Amino acid sequence: MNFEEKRCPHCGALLVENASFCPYCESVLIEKRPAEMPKPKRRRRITAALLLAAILVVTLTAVGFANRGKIIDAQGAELTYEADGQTFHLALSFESQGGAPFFGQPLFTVEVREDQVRGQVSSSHVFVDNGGGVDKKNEFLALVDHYEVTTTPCDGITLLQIDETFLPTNSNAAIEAIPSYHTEQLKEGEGNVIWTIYLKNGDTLRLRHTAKITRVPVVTLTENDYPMATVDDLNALLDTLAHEADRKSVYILQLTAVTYEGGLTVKNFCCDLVGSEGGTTFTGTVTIATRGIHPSNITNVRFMGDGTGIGLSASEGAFLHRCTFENWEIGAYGGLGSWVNATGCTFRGNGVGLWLDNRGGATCSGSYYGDSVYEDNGTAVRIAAMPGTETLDFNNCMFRGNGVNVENTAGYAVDLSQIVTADN
Amino acid sequence: MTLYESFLEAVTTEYDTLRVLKQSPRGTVSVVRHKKSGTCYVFRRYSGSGEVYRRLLPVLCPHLPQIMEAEQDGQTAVLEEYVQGDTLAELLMGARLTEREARQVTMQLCQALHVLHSMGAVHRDVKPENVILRGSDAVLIDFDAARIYKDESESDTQVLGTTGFAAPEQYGIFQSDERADIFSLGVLLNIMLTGKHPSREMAAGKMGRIVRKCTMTAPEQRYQSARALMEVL
Repeated sequence: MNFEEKRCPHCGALLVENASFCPYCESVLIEKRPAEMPKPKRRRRITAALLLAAILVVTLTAVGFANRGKIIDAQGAELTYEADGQTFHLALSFESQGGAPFFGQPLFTVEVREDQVRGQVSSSHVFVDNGGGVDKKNEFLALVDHYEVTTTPCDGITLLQIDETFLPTNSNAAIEAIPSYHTEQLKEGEGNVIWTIYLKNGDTLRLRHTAKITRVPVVTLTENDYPMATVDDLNALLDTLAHEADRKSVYILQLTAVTYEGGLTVKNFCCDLVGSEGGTTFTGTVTIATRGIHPSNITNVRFMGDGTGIGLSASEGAFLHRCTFENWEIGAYGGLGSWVNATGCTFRGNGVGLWLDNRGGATCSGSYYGDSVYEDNGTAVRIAAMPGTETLDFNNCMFRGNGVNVENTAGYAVDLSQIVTADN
Repeated sequence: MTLYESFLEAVTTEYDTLRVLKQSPRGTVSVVRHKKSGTCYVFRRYSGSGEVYRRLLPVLCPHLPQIMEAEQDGQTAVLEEYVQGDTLAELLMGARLTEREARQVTMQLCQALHVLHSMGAVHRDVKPENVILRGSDAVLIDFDAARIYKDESESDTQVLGTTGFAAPEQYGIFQSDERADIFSLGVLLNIMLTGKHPSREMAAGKMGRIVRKCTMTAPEQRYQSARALMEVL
């Protein structure tokens, strides 16, 4: 061949060096550009005017933006920002304690019982360090003018709303917001929590992360479904459920209005115990060892002891509502890595009414311990160990005739400012 | 084997000839179809310069066909986009365009000519048969008669063009430049409006005055560029 040759990059055919087109595969091998074509002057004048206007708008906007500062949108849960010669690494997390360095948590799954239409999601936290684990929240907060936290709807339905934003004092986060979910339509979905932080220098920082709401099935069992007349009936039912229950579901046992002579153990599945308005009583220890992902709710149940033993022992999280613990060595005990929360309960004549002895387990899911009556106990409340830094709020509780009202050997933060005592 | 021969061989083996559009002692124009894809192209082989086609290779313009390849070796071989549509000549058989339609076609041809002129080329054969109406776009085709304008030449070396449309200078009085195309376009505008050559019937009104200025014998008395003609249109 007497010409410089090349191969078609598309089909490999042999072509001349300066070929513009491959006649074999029809590929265009050169760059083609639209020709510049003239326009009539009148149009050109209009175009020029429009162009001038556009330039003016862009210039004014640019000037405006320059004055407003930069908008830095992380499009995620982490960003790095530099100002005043300092590096700030911001990370959003639903965890209350950040690591070092902090890591952004873009997605957090919230499992919501399907009978729970509203409730709070774990707080959304902004952590700030220098990118290497050195806390910089104070330096960063000094630069902040104000901030706002918003949520975006999911499929047109607002799943999340922000209840409160604040500067936390018991967390190493710089700012904290509490989102809550509203799921009247039993809807699952994702809600974005969007932080917009306005700095004094005009810059705006935006981060976001997502709370995913998933529904947990709830199964209610009554004496019409299973025999529940005796403690043996209940234990037989609990044994059955311990082997057969769907671990992803929550079971509610609607107890009958009887005195169960003895105690029972709930294990291996999530279970709520709901006493009858007519009076449901246990004379033996009820043990909560559900090993589930959801805390148990014990509602309207009486625990009547003989001066020994434990009324309720929980090694998983348990919420006690309107329950009575009377004449036990220990009324309610949360230990072995978990906690017990009590509201609206009565602890009377126990050696220790409520004993919190959570050594290294999960932090408490509820910090409000109010509206209870602690009466004639040796020690009404003993806080021996509790992880976390939240303040336990005993407001609106009545303490009367106790040897010690609150024995706080753990030194945990408690709020007793609005309790009622016999001296009041 | 030369570049030209290599290209010819590829076209011969990879394409079918569907029909011959034009055949003359100068050359042949035919519609060819790629055997595998079925895409149609116009294939030109003629004696003469293919420089204008080569200059059009990198150009995309809605009023000019896309030139795929142009090779030259004594003869010129060109593969170009097949523009589907009726020619203006077919459309004007027994019909006239409205002033608005004629203005639109002329404006678009001005744009095509502007592209050609800006690359130093003169079409030299603007006529209804070389304008295809593809939808609302007028496409100027056939650059076989086109040439690159040379400043030093005093007269055209070869008489090319179509009688009635060709400017006087195309007959050897002066070298033809872009104003020759303005002359032809003026004639074409008049035919779109009246169906007749300006020497027989001049369009009325403003359009007539534009045609008259386009077709002045002295090139310097015509609109001096396609852009200038667009301004008055």
